[in-house]
Amino acid sequence: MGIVLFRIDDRLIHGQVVEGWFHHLRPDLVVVADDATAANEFQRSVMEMVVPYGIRTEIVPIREAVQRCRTGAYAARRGIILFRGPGAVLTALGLGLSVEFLNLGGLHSEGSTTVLGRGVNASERDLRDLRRLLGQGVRIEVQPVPAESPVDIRTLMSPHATGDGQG
Amino acid sequence: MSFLDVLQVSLLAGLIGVDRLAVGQFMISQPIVAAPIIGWVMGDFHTGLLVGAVLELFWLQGLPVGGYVPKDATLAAILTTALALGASPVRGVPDVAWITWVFLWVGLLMSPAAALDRWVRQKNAFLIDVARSDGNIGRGITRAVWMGVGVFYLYYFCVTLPVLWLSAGALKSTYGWLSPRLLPGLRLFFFLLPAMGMASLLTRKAHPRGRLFAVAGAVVSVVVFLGFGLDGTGPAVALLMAAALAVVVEERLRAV
Amino acid sequence: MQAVGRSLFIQSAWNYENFQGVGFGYALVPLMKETASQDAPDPDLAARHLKSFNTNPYMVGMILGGVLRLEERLASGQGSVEDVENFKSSLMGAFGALGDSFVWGGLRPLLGLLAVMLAVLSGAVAPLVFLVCYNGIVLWLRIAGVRNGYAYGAELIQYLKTINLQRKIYRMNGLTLFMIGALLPLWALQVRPEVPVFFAGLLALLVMVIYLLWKAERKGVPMLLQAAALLLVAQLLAQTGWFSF
Repeated sequence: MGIVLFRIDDRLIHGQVVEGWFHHLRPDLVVVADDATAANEFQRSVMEMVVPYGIRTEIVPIREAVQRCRTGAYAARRGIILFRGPGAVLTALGLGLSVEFLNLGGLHSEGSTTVLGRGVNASERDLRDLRRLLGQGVRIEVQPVPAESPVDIRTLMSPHATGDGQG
Repeated sequence: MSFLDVLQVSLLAGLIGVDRLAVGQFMISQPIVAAPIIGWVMGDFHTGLLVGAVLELFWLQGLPVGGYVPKDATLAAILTTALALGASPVRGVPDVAWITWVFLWVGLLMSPAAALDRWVRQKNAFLIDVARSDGNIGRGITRAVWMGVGVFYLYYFCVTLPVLWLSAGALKSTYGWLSPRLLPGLRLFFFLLPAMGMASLLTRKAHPRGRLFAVAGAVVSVVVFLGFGLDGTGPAVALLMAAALAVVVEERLRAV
Repeated sequence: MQAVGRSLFIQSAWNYENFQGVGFGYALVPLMKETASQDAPDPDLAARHLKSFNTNPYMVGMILGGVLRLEERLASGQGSVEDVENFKSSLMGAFGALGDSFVWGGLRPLLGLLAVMLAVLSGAVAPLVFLVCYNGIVLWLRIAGVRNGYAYGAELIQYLKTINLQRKIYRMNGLTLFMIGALLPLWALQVRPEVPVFFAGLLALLVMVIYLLWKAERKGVPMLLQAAALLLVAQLLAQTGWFSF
């Protein structure tokens, strides 16, 4: 089965993810692919605390998460991988991760200019990264919680994409 | 319903509302407690207990997550019990069909009540300014907190009073117009109401052996109640022990 | 401790702008008074703790205890304002989620189910038993929360690991599912216990209705529509005369 959801959420594991996506997808593994969190013991503990009993939690640097994906460590699992932002996903792709579909759930970047959804505010840099992800053939949908209907990101970004010719 | 009854229930409703919304959360505001209290005040504890039990199960899963405020089971329990007893077309214990009729009306009021609740909480932002206002340390904050308690008390009082006062008569006469053929259906509906709460709780419970647990519970329950009968604490204790045993056994199985 | 009493008021000034912010400030008033009487009082203390704050009302004690500890350290020149802010903001979200699934998702439904069973079996004592059990547990959360929050301070997370709430939640979920199953026969039996066929029919109906509603709920059918359909089905079934009582 492997990884059933790749998600971008700058808060990584929090109530929305646990109450919404965990109940919806019933995973037995959650991977946080984030260098900063992996290095901070306090943050790591806070996140581990929120995950329900019976779901394995791995909080690892991006490089390690990609490696574990590629060596098939998650093949027998039903997992969710969380990234902090579009930039982190680009890094992971660069390291050899293959992602077909990406769920965009939360962004509150510094200097955000574009609202893509409830709680999804992208900066110019995020938009550029998202376009590069689209360029690499990744399908991206904005959907903070399963109860809301997903929106294809291309319908939200098209004016910008044609405007600066990077689409 | 006499005005004295209306006033008495509304004053009490304010207190119960404060438990839910402001101070304590001791869960006096849960239907299984609030409804019997109102029933007792209105002179029929057991009807209150019946309403409380059904509404408790109906709202079994009322999760206030983050900023989301669920439909108000407390208000529904208070209004249903008070109207069912206060406006009852018969003397003595009211018919379940009548209670259902009252509940259907109260159910319709829940969405406007939720809107009012949101409005109150938006307006409450003025309390932040009150808290910051006074130079003397803590005095402004203390005042803001007590004003908040007052606001929530008044909110419950101001919803309960007019609803009880205005809808008692209309409910009684519309019930009188109902064909007697419809009454068994209303009773059956009341009996089935808990199914809604249970179903919505089941969708929230992610448990690898959930179905097994539920089936085990049902089987043990049939054995216990057909064996011991429905009276006393014996069957309840037997059930609890069986449930605990099931949980322990499941954990052992997981560990293997 | 005074903080426990004051923490009961956490929701009192709940609003959509800073949620429990005012309530949290209220719980810290004694601390504000204390620092104000010192040589170098912290002028921002009140402002800092009136900011937006939102967590589970029963878990607030732990954060409160921790903040009291950190503020005292701050007053004696250790740590920084950012430490306190980070402590508060990262814990309120996590404790909110944890407390919500422990109390609102686990404890309350379970005790509610048990109380209804008890109401059917023994009547009047049920509400009382419910209140005693529920408050016994949440009072422990509140009192031990403030005490341990204060004792552990920034290491509060370590304390929570030892009490392992997630495991308790898991066990409670098992109990709740068992009790849902156990309540169904009881609920059917109380209507007309002397007629076995009637009991079996009602039980089967109840199970079927729950299954269909569960399907509907998973598909996201609105509550009002579910209730309307249930009312219609109840009317039709009652008209056949099988389930009339």
